[in-house]
Amino acid sequence: MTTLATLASLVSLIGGTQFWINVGLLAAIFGIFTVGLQLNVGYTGLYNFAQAGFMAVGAYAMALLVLKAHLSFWLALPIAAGVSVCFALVVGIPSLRLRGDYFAIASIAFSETILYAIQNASFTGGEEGLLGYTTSWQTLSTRMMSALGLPSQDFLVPILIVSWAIFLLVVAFVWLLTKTPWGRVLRAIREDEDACRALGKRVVVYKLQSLSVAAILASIAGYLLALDLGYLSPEEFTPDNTFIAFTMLLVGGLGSFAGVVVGAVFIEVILETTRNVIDIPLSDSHLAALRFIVVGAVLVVIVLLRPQGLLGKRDEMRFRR
Amino acid sequence: MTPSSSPDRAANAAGSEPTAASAAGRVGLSLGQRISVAVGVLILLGVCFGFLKGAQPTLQTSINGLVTGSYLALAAVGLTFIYGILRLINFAQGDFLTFGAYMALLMNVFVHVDIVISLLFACLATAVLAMVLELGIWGPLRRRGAGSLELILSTIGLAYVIRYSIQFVAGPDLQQLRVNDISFYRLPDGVTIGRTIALTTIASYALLLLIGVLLRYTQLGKQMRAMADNLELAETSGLNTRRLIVLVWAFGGALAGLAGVFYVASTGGFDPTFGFTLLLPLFAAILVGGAGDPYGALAGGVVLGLAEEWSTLFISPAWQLVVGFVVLILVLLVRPQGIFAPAARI
Amino acid sequence: MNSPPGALLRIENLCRSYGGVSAVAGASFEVASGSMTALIGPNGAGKTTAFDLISGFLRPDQGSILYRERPIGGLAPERIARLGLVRTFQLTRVFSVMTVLENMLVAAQGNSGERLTQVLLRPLHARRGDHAAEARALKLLSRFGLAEKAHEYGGGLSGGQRKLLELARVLMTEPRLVLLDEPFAGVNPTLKLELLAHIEEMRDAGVTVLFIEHDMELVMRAAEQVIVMANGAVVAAGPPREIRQDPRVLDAYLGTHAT
Repeated sequence: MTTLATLASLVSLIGGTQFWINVGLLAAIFGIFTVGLQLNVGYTGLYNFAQAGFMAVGAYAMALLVLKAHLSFWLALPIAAGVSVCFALVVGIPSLRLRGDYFAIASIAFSETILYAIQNASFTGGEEGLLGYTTSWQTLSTRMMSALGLPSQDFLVPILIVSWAIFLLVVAFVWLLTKTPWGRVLRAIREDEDACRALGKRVVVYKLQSLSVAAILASIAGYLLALDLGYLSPEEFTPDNTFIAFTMLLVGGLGSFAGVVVGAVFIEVILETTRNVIDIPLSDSHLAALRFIVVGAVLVVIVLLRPQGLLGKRDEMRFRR
Repeated sequence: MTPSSSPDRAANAAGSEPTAASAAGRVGLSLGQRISVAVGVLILLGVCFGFLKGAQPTLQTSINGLVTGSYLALAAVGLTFIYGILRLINFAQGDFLTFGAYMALLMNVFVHVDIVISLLFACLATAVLAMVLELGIWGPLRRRGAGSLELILSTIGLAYVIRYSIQFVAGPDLQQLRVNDISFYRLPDGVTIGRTIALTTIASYALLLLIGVLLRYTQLGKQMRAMADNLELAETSGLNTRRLIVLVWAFGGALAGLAGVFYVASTGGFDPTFGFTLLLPLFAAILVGGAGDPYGALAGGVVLGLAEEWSTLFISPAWQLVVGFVVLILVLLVRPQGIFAPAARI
Repeated sequence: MNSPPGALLRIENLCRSYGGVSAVAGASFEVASGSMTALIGPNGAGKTTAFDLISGFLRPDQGSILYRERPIGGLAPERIARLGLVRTFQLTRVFSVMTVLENMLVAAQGNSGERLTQVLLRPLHARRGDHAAEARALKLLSRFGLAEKAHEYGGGLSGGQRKLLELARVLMTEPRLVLLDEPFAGVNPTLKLELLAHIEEMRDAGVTVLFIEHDMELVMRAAEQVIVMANGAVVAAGPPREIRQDPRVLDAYLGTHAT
């Protein structure tokens, strides 16, 4: 019990409830994002650097369907995910036959193109962004707050709960998927595509399916981020998201879904701490730079010292090429 | 990805379906013929655009394209060897350009040193940076048997550290070198080119020619090309590849730093993210030319520069960057071993 | 197993080149159903390229490949494998980061749990296909002496065990025609005989075997038919005794000592 007490006092030391709500929210959002990445990178051997693009497509499609096509929020969610999957197919069909690292570059190029297009096209609101799609969610959120008896300042608690519920569900779901024969083929593909083809597996189909699942997960993360922020701005959807997710992936360990949870929380703690808790008189831009220096450094250190991450399997690392 | 027999690995340099690559390769033109065809195609395009959009805009954008192309070519030539020898996709190479530019800024604006000396300092500093990273991080990682994903991720992490350390120290605002950005030359047809820009462009092309000569005729150059062709063979034939690789990084770093300084000298204002925005066009230039091929990298740089500038004839300049991405995607999907690479090359 | 009479595999005038080099230049041969045929020839004769072409990893420039009287030239490798034509590679391609049993299970054909749509529609049935496959896999593994290793990583096996696993895995696909690329390469003599015994068992059960091999003694002993390739074309074909005395074959090897 004393350990819990010390932990609690440490927790309150490093920042109040607001800090932890923030960390929790972002950890869940980017955790969902990273689960998709884990399926691609850790299980299928696909170096998917387009995940940030998939997230943007999902979020913007949702917002546009609600705002411009006047669809119900709840209907827009699956349709926007479908749009994101279409984009994944556009990226994947021509690029998946490329060797691993070339696929990485191709996926970045596609992703950058779509992010750039979102930033500059007029119908996406351009630099100004989009807002006004949160009404349906607000209704649900207020209902949840009154049901839980929360004061109005805790308005982020409903989305926190929903995000974590979805996060854990997603982790369980994808983990179970990997335990199926389908998941086993993915792992075989990760290791040796040609051997799989020689055994009759249609490798391209599996890869497209893996990529599509990741795109759906990225979209879900995008929706939650959109609700958290209340507005969509291209600044929130940069390739930084993908790179930060890769850091989470490595910290937690390639191949471990529990690791994604750990990695997401760990990295978000670091990011949010360097954002506003450290009591150094630094300007905004300095703090922003510091966050990225720290994340970059963490990535390099993990690769150098503990590439299997916190929860990755040692054995697997031994046999990986 | 690659079938077992080794000739396939030649046609499958990037691991795409054998049919596409070898079908194109079966056209079987020599390097000289390819260059002539490429130059011919570019000239033809230029003439077409001239008819479509008028002589002055076409000439102006062609000149601009050759200018941008010169800097891209410089950086690409430096880095194509890294890519050809190590097959490392270095996400930090854009930030090498940024690093070079800021080192020159440091000397030129804050220590009030002459621009030429600042330039040399920038090259040296970036070369040292590249060597330190190879000695401290990439070399040890490779020798430990790290896979390509780990290596790529380490370059990404380093890119962030370099870029944001620069931002931490120098701030995110636009900076400028102390160069003459006012005088310009007036060329026929109303085409203009800044004096500094003309100087740096000519210097770049001259340097590129010099490098071509050095690579062909010096021993170091031959060793570098041998390693790019077949690293294992070079190792077994007795080359001290470990030491040579460090030198190749120095070479690549120096050229990238130089390209960065030239680039910012000609574009005016720059911030810590400019190098990163050049990353994908740089990849495209290297891939268009074929890995490990300095002439190809030169050609690739020019092609990219022209493509970006010519695109402004048809679409808004805001979309210039996307042109680089599109070229990259096209190269990867159509002919990843490079348009200028001969088919039998590995 | 009832194999159709006559040639199971028929190659006619097969050609394939790259970078100006002709790897296979007008090769023609037949493989009789239910037979054990050896494909021999000096290095660079085009044997592995022929395998790549037959199994779909390469597309032929010219010529036809008929499997069970159906043209398969240019089809995707996974399609050809599903038709019962399965190949191995020169270097064993055992999945190291998966267990021996999982290696076998991946080879099982027609497992509905491998299809995502099926998994999503009937999640509780996802692992059904595995039950039957597992039983068959364990039986095969014990035939090959690998049963105790079933839950070890493929990467932990010795070289010889990997060869055995690869052979067992091929059998798991229930093939009709098996292309073995140098199955005995780099293997000690005792293991060679063990592998040969398994391959002969395979042939006795009705599987047609075409294998590339350099060990002449083994070829003479095991093969019913021998096809000799050199410089991308077939130089001679016939029973081992005839081939051994054929002057064209000796020419093809150009005096190189074929062990």
